[in-house]
This record gives sequence, C-alpha cells and structure tokens, in this order.
Amino acid sequence: MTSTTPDARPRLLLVDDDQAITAGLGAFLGRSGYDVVVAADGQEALDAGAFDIAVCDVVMPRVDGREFVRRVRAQGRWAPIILLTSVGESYERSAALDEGADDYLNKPFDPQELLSRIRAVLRRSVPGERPLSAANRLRSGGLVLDRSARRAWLDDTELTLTPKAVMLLDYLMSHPGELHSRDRLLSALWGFDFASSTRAVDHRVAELRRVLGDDPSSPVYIETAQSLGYRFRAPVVTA
Amino acid sequence: MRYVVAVAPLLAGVIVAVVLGVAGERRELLIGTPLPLLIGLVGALVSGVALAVLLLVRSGRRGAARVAAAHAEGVATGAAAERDAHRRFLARLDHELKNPVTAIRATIAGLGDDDPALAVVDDQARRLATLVGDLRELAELETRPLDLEPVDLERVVQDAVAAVAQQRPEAAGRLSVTVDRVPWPIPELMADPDLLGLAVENVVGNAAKFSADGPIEVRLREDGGHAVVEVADAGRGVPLLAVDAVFDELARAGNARDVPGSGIGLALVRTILRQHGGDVSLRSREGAGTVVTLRLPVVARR
Repeated sequence: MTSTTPDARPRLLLVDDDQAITAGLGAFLGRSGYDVVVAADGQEALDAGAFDIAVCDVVMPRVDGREFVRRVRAQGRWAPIILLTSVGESYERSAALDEGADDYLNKPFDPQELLSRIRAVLRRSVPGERPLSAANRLRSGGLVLDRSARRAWLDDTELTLTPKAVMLLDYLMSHPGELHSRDRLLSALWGFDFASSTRAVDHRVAELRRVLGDDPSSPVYIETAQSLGYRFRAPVVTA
Repeated sequence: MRYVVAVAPLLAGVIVAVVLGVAGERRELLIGTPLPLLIGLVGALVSGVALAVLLLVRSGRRGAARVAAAHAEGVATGAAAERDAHRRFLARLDHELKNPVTAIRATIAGLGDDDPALAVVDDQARRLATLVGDLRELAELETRPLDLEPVDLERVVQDAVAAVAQQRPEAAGRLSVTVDRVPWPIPELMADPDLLGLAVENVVGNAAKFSADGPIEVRLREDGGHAVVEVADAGRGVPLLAVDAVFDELARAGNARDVPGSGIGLALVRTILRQHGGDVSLRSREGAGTVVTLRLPVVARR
C-alpha cells in the first residue's frame, strides 16, 4: 500500500489538530523533500488515502493517534507511522499501548530530530511488509527476543537481564542500524531526561554487552558511535 | 448534659431537705457502726475519690492526644492533597505549553532562515519547555513506582564522583571519597540505581559548583540501619535564611545567582531520597562550607 513511484517525493501524511503546528512543520517537511498532506484528526487521516509515512499526534478529537494506528494496521497497511506523544510516556508504556507505531517523539521536539526519525524509518521500512516494531519476536543471529514476554535468548540459552535492559534491547533491536543519542534513549525509554542523567543509558548498554558477551571494541550487536550514542549494528529479522 | 445528670441527685436532695425542714421534720436517723468498719469505709472513700481524679486526668490526656493525632492527620492529608493538586497543575501546564512550543520551533524550522535572532527564539523556546518538562517529571517521580534492583551504593557514589570530575576537570583534584568498611561494610541496597546516581551526582556537582577551592569530601558509612552519604565542601555556603528553602522547586539562594542552574537539583534529590524511604538534610555556614547528608534505609534483601 504505497504511492511512491521511483522518482516521486514520498507522500507524508501530517496529522495534528493544532494548525500552528501543521503549518510550520508542513513547510519544514515540504522543504525537506516530502509531499506533505495535512489532516486535522485521525478520521481525516483515514480518509486521506495512501501514504508513504505518517507523522501523527496522539491527542486529537474524533479518532486519536492510537486509534488511527490500530485502524490502519487492521487494514493490513504497514506504511510507517511516527507518533507525537505529548504526555511523558516511557517507550515501555507507549509500545504496550499501541502495537504498530514505528517510532515515538515527545513534544516539543527538535524538527531536525523528527526529520532524522522520518528518514531512518523510511530507510528501514520495506513497502508492504510488516515492520519490526509490529513483530512479536525478533531475531538477530543467535539472539532472539520475545517482545511481549520480555525474555531473550542467546544460542538457545535464556539471558538474565534487568527489566530496563530488556526494554533497551527491545528498542535497539526494533530500530536496527539507526544511531540513537543518549538523550533520546533516555527520554524515550526512561521517561525522564534531567540533564546529566544519560549515564543511566551507558550502564544498561554495559549490562547488555556483558550478558551478550559483546566486546565494545569490536561489537557484534551494540556499537558505540563516537560520543554520539549507540547503534544496533547486526541485521534483525522477524522471528 | 452529663453535668446536669451528675448534679441532679444533689439538687433533688437539697430540694427534699428544704421541703422537709420547712415542714418541721424533727426525726433523726442514728446508725451504729463499729469503728474499724468506719475507718475502712473512709479509706475506701478517699481512694475512690483519688482514683476518680486520676481517671479524669488520664481521659483528659487521651482526649488531648486524640485531638493532636487528628490534627496531625488532618495536616498530612492537607499536605498530600496540596502536592496532588500541584502535580496535576504541573501536568496541565506542561501539556498546554507543549503545543505552543512545538509550534514555535516548527515555524522557525519552516522558515529555513538562519537569522541568529531566530536561533535565540528557538533556544529560549526550548529552555522554557525544558524547565516546565523538568518540573512535571519531578512531580511525576513522587508517585511513580521505583524500578528496584540490588545496588552497590559505593559503586553508585564512585561513579557519580567520576562523572562530576569529568564534567568539571577543575574540581577533579579536589574530590575524594572515603568509605567506612570496618566493622562492617554497607550492605547491598534495593534501590533504583539510575535515580540514586542522579541524586548523588547532583549533590557532588553542587559542591563542585559552589566551592572555587578547598577539598570536596564524599563520605560513605552505615549508621543505625541507614546508609549515609555525606558530601562536604569548603565553599561559599548557604545563607542561614535560605537553608530551609533550598529543597523547594526553583528556589535559589541569594548568593547563588551568579552560578547557572535550574533550581531543580535539590528538589529532585529530596524527591528521589524520599521515594526510597530516606531523606536529605543540609547544614551550612555562609563563607565556611556546606555538608549535605543523604540517608537511605538498609532493608534486608528478600
């Protein structure tokens, strides 16, 4: 279900009931190379037809963002959707609330950050295919993650991980190949982002590496990107 | 009403006596009582009166204690209700500010103009959002369940000190950590290591921020079922009048205005410690230095 022809600009559906936001963001995303279509709520968005990617607010009149995701996925349409959450929710809670959104961004966000999310999600998505974020089990080599049970195995041996480490592994594995800044991981996964608390992220990455036997200097799974953040470097497939 | 009932027999007696006296009643009642029995009865009567007085005093005290307890409960309920209202207000304020700030930032990005004045607007919008967001997160921490796991407090402290040393290289040489291990080390705690690290780092960071020179001592010990972390500096100190307020949100002492900061730090420290069943206190002398004490209950692991 996609409208892209090889050289056309990707069709981006921007859904928010606040006109002040859609006007500014629409102009910005239009200049960044997208064919932007604006909808004022989930119902209008459902009526707007096919899209290559949707950027959608959560709190809206009539059909809200979560209901929009559910209805689109129920139709078997797998085009990526990025939700703009306005309540400080951790990834754990967001992911539990809506299976099928590809990424989340807390308002207010840096428009550049949104743009890099859009690009990453589009790069990852295969038109017409169920995205990793909608899968229940993920596999990367010998590593298997059961997302709903929050359990992980390496070469058929179950791993002992803290709940936060599993949440981090879940996020990294469902967004492979993308660079995630510490700040972004912290606010998305922990639900708080007080200055100077990003070491919490480093500690969980260290825990994951220890349990996975991943050598930071030549990692198989989690790679450190030069003080910028972390990236899950191994390919991930739906298991 | 009880007094009326109590006095009624006396009144009735007096009335009957007056009536009989006026009517010229002259008869007398003579009771022959053995002296030992009489003395025994008098003794019993005196004891009875004494006991009655004692019971009266005791019930009065109980009543006062009940009133005091009810008062304390009322105050606590009121304070909790106030915090609750405060929390909800911050959540609403945060929610209502998010869309305008998102719109401001989106509009500036949409202009595609690299005018430095627009960068200032963008920066200030972000600052505003961060402040309100921090206040809301702080309020949320008060009610949010902790992610508890076994924590080695010494590691958390060493780690926070290392982080401050890295952020403020000028203070690195002044930082020292001492840990009491004799007669017993601090047992492993059940705590949220991320939040605890944040609290310790905030306090150590403050010590580095507000002391231009002199040692910064971080001391770790066990004391009567509590793990105690003390962070002492020889810095500018907190003015006496500001000591009570430093743990309030956005409160900044009068002599701290030249140092950048959000005014969130110590409020955050207090919230984190209280959520763990502990607390934080501060002693300071202006011009001499400050010691901040974090106390955490050591609970045996299940």
